[in-house]
Amino acid sequence: MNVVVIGMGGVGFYVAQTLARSGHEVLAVDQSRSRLEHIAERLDVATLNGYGANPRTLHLAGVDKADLVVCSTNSDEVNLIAALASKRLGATRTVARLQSGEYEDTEHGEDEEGLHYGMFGIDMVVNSHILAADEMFDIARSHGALDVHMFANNRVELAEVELPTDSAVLGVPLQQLRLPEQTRVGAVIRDGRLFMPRGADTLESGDRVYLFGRTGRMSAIEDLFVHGNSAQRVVIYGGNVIGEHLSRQLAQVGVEVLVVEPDRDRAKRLAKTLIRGNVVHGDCTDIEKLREEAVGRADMYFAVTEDDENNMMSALLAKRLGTPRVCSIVHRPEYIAIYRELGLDMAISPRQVAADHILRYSNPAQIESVIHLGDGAVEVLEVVAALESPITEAPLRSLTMPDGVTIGGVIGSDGVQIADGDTQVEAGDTVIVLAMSKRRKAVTKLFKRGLF
Amino acid sequence: MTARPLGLLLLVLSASIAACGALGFLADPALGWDPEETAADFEHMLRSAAIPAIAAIPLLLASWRVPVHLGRREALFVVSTIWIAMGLFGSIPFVVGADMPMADALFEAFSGLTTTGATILTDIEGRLSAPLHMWRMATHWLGGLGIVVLFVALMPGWGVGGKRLFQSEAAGPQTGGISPRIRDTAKTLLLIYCSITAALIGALWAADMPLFDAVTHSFSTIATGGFSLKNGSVGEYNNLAIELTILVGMLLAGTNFALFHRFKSGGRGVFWSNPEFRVYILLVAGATLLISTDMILNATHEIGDALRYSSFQVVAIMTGTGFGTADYEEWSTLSRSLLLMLYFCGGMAGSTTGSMKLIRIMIIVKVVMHEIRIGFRPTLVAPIRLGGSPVADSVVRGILAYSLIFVATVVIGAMMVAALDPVDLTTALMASLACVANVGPGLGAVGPTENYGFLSDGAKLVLSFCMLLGRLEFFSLLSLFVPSFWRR
Repeated sequence: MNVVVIGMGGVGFYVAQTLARSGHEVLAVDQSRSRLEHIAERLDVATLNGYGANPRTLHLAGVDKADLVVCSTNSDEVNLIAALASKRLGATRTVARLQSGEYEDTEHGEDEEGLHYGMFGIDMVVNSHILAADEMFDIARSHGALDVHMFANNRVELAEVELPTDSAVLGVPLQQLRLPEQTRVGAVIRDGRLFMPRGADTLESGDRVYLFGRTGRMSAIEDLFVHGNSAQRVVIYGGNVIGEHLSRQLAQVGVEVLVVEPDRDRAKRLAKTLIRGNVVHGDCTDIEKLREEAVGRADMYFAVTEDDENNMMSALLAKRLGTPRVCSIVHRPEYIAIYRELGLDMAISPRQVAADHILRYSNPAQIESVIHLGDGAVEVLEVVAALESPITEAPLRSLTMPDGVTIGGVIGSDGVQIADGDTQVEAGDTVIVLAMSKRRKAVTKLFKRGLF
Repeated sequence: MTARPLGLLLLVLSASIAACGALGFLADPALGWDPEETAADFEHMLRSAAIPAIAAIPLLLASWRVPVHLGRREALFVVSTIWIAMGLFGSIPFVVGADMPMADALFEAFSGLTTTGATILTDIEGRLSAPLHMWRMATHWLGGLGIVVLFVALMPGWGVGGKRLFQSEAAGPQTGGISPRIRDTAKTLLLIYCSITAALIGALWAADMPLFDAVTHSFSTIATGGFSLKNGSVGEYNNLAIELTILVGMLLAGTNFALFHRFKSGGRGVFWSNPEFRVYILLVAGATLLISTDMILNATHEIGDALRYSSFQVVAIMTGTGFGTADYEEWSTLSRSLLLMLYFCGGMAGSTTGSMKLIRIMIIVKVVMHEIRIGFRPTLVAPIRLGGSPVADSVVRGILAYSLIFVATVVIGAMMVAALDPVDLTTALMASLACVANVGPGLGAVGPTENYGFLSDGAKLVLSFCMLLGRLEFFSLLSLFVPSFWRR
């Protein structure tokens, strides 16, 4: 695939890196020569210096022959213009990444395939902040999950939970657990090591467990594992695009929302648009402020400001005051691993979310989409089973699965099914696979037409 | 970590030596090649091939299953050691097969691999057997495009490391990539290289050259090497068709290979619209015209002969091939001065030629023009432009540093040759220049009908190093001699 990536910031770099590594021809376009030198040094891609929305730059980049143009500069307008112009010049598919909320249509939202702004003619618009807010919303709505991801057009859900000391499932062999229908246990992280549990294995307190299930059935399995409730009282630190979008969504479903915003003007502006829910002016890195607003009694705390350090400190303070679930935005994805070590339940990187979303959409290969969990050690893939591939040979029970690979669900002609031992994968089905990132090769082998 | 590329290289080298032994049987006994000698040397070649193969084993075992990660330093180190190892192991067949002294064998191997084409052999035809001839000419072919390009093209899994290897071997200004992925670029280059080689073999064979001679001379031509099977080089065939074929072959080898790739989609326009290509062709035409006019005015040649010999010699020297059809030592001082200028030029960037490359000369000329204009108009702000687009200051600086090192290496090389051997100034300077520029024959005692055999061992080693410096464009090799390179 011939890909042009315009704008080599965090998102652009990650997208270019992933696509180049999986064998695509990538051209990286950026305004800064030094940035391009840095890119050329690290990635096997071609580079072009120029302004992304300039017609000559687009012409030199050969967008007319590109299969995919990803516009991810830090200017929304440049991204929109570059994507529109590329589409007009003949690019097969174009993606524009946005950051501000100014282009959001809150009335209509996106259609089923995640495509909005269809009227612009851009194939996909990805707003990293809105996506991050959406992910946070899903987490707040879940019954105690730390992370939630949707697959197969929101029909399959993956939730990550951490088992408390009084969880009902501790010490019971998995095969004896009475799981709700259409749900299953995917994988377990214990002491930082991921493994795929077998029927005789038991779970321990402190385990992080990945649960698969049909959307709508997840609360039942979450209740069994962590008996948590969906958040009723939520505190959000930061009234930016993420905070605004998240607070509006939560308020709409009846959650009590409190937004704390350090900038008075911004707080005023947000208060005008947020009909249900409170906005206060203040700083959450100040423990007195947190006490005053009774943050410790909230069910969830989200730190979403632009400043990584403030987010982290305020989230740690909230945890200390007794908030059961705290979640922070982190703008530098490489910090995520450290956040967890420090005791934050969840850290979400808007860049990573946006890049994952773009890659999910852009990868025409057999492996359709990829989501990275945690610090990237685990990934969830949507893979199409090829004709006569090993996975289609027998029901899952009688197949020997490679270590570190587990099947979550199967989307076939007759709808979505959460995998169990009797599941038979047919050629052409899309299969949701949870796997260690380093086992990618084993997954590919499983779904490729076998030579032996 | 760097052991695997080196080990793989030695295996490739070993296979090449063995293959050349087998290719030696192409030589037709009816044309005077001694079949018994060929068979005996085939065995010598197999024995020579065994040495790098054995040396490769510990290297490959040590690096077995170790993931290759090549940073900048590692890439520079790998490329430099690869070239040095190629020279060392590539000299083995000459020692085993032809009983050459070590210094002679090294000189011949480095001269071959760096596509210089300078030789220490006085009697080329009598001294070597067919398999050794094949190996001698094949070293040109291996070194012409660059062994690392071959590597990156044929072996997967280098990732970005492949890019670093590639850049370390072919430093200098690169005019537009062929493909975003380095492996595809390398594959395309290799394909172009092989295609031109095959076409040349066919054309030379059609021009009545025996097959063995056609294959070997094609290797030498496409790599702009200069080794020949004959004592009198290409001139000894005294066949206009052969000379013209080789002339065109040398011109193609001196063209940026990326242009051939773009020709497929862009048509003929891609050549003439390239400023470097225009300079290339105009320079060849201009020099040919001047020299032949000079010959005619001096009444040494008829018009036909003047054009024939001058054009061949101009292209042979400019591209750094160094084939000979005429003894230009006997030409007028004016003509020889013109040739001397061509020693510095080389062909286009991205070709197999040696020396400075025209694009550098063009930029230097523009920098000089700029400085002159700044002299009377100090407030002028004008970037150095090439073909309409500005050249980055860092590139300009790199080129100025390169040209300084080039000249300095020539002078220092000449001084060292003069210190080791009692030679005159022309010989010392030209020997050094011809080696650094990868041309081959110089002037004076190392002129077109002479050879480097009379020099002392020390001078031969100095010149071998000069050839390698010139081929790797100085910086890659010199970085190994900077102490901070080794500090982490």
